[in-house]
Amino acid sequence: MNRRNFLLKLSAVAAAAGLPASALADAWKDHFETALAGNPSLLAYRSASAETLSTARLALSGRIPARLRGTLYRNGPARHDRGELRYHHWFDGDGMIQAFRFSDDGVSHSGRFVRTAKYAAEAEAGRFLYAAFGTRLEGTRPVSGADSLNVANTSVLPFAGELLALWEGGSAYRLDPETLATLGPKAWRRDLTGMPFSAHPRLEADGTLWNFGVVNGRGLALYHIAAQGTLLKADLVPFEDVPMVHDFAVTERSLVFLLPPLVLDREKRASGASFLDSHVWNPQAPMRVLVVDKSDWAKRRWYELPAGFVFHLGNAWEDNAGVIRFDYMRANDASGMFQSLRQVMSGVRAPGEAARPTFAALNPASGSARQESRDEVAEFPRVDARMTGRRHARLFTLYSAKPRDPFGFQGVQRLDLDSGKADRFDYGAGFFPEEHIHVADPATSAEGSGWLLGTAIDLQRRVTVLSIFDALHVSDGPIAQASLPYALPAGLHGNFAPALSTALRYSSSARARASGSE
Amino acid sequence: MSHFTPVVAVHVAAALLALALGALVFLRRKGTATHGWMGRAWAGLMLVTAISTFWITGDDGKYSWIHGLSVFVTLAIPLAVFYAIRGNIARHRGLMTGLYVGALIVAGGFSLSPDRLLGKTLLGLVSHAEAADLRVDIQGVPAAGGRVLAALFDRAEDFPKGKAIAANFADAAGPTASILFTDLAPGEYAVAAYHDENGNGRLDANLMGQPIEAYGFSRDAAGMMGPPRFADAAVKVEAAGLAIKINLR
Repeated sequence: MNRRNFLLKLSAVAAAAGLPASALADAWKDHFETALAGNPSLLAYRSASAETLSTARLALSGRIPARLRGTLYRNGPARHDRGELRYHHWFDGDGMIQAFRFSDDGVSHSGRFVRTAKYAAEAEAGRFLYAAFGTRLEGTRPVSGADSLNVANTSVLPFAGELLALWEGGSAYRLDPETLATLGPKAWRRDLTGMPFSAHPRLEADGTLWNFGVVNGRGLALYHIAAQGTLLKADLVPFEDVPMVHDFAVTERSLVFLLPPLVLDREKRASGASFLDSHVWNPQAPMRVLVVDKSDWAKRRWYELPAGFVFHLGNAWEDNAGVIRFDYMRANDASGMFQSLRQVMSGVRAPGEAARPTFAALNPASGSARQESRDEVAEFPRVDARMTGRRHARLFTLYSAKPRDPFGFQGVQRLDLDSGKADRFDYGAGFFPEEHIHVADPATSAEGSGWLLGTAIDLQRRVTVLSIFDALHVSDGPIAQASLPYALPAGLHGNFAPALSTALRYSSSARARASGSE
Repeated sequence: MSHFTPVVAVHVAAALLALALGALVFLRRKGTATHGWMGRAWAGLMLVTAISTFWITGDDGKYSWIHGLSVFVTLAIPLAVFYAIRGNIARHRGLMTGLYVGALIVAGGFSLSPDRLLGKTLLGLVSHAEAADLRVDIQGVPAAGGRVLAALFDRAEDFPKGKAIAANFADAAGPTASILFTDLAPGEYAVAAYHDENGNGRLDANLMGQPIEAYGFSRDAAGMMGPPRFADAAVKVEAAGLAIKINLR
């Protein structure tokens, strides 16, 4: 019997016997360490090597474009174990912010954990104290709300002069954009303290921010925030059978939510199951689509798509006939999250459904919804942020022509949505690529013009590299690449904060051009 | 709730003086000049005792049947004095004896029953030595400012959102605060405490109904998705008193 079968069998036996998962805690850590020795791709799931990381000048090949100045912030789970206990799910770990700063002197890196209330208490105790997303732990401390469990590990957003570390079950955490020091949870209004604020807010071209949070068993909290950071409106939108929702999309008039048939069972939760395992997948139920009118949140339309699971949407827009069109990364079910992203924490590659780029249309006249998918596996969709809510023709994703596993990707691609053509760069088997984000060239306005920025773990050299692509010529390969002297744990999402000087220069030159043409 | 108001104090003082003076009058020789002015003084005290009750009501603000006796005394006292002046000594003696025994001793004794205000007050004074104190040391007050509130419960069905039997507060000047509950009958109690950050007297909640001010319960009890049960938070207060700690979170 090979190790993988042994481990699967072991966990099956444990589950059948009703043993708490933490009874296997020691085995998970040992098995991961053993597996890591023979499989360098598991570097992605190690804990960070230190509390803080810092490199003043990264080794650089190629040239950083002169107009690319600012900071790429990324977030991801980076503390997967304390003491002898290792978490059983990739999403459990405490968030660590990585900052890559682009200046005339090159690229620097610094990394620092988000010091959430949970992190501070556990650091002091030297062991995990609180329940986790996907791990059932015994004897955890009681919680006073979702923020007691907040690991702030999913994304990071520079917004209105603040830097926000985002989770999805609780508050955003405010950070110092320079030092990455944690300042505390963000309350947009006193009665929004401790409310869920998703890791995928949508920033519109005018700087307005929309976001949501899943209120378990109740519905969604919606947020509308002005570019200056002041709250315009927040309220609860109630509905039945509230599922796990990770992302959404906005059009010029609507908010679009995909609700997979993965609903929280309160009895399972009360019996002590982890948050993840309290969710029940119902393959007979449709993927509901909820469309909320931005100007009147009581105006809602419902649509149905076939059962499916989704983490991420690319973008949404409304055509002249009022049809809402959007793309999302659709998996047949949630097995990737339930199995692959769990077993990998013990060093085991477990099968799971992978996601594929899927294009959907919602027709308000007929009330019908339809969709079609591409063949390749893809995730981490991004668009040129200037197109948020408007008709976009370019979508950037990680991809695998032939999936190694649901979350191991081959490279990065630009999809041209009109032609269906893909412009791809294949990192090759020796790399573990992570999310690549689009950064617009401030001197241009054509959709997609600018750069693709993304990290990948070089599995042979055991270091993380940061690549910069011309976003319109991805297959040319990186125009510059910076190497860290260490490998970072695989991250989730990030965003780019343009340097103020660059932003000012190009916004004033854009104004000058605009006034000159009048 | 009825209270020990100044009118009650006047009523009780007049009744006690009348009780003593009346006994003296009964013991001394009758018909003397001294008997005359002592009797008039006693009559005055009895009128004060009776008439003062018209400013004393029950919890509901209404008069009780015992006020009927006050009306009777107010009318009977002048009549008894009138009998003495007229020399109708037999009727004077009969009425005065009846008033002393019926209105002072019987009615006065009745007023001391434990379910009435004076009874409760007396019982409180007598049992004071038996009553216990509960000191609640509250830790983990997240920020200075506002106050820390603690509410005391002795019934499971009231805990923690119903009516508390007592609620006290202390200024939140630092990370800890101490709150004292006094004169408790020995028994089981549970305490709910929170940091009333903005001093509005309520545990504020966010849009989804979760508390946004730090709170905690005796024995640091915690519920699964809700408040703890009384049994999990209850502490036993003995006659010697008790000090407990609550960590806010």
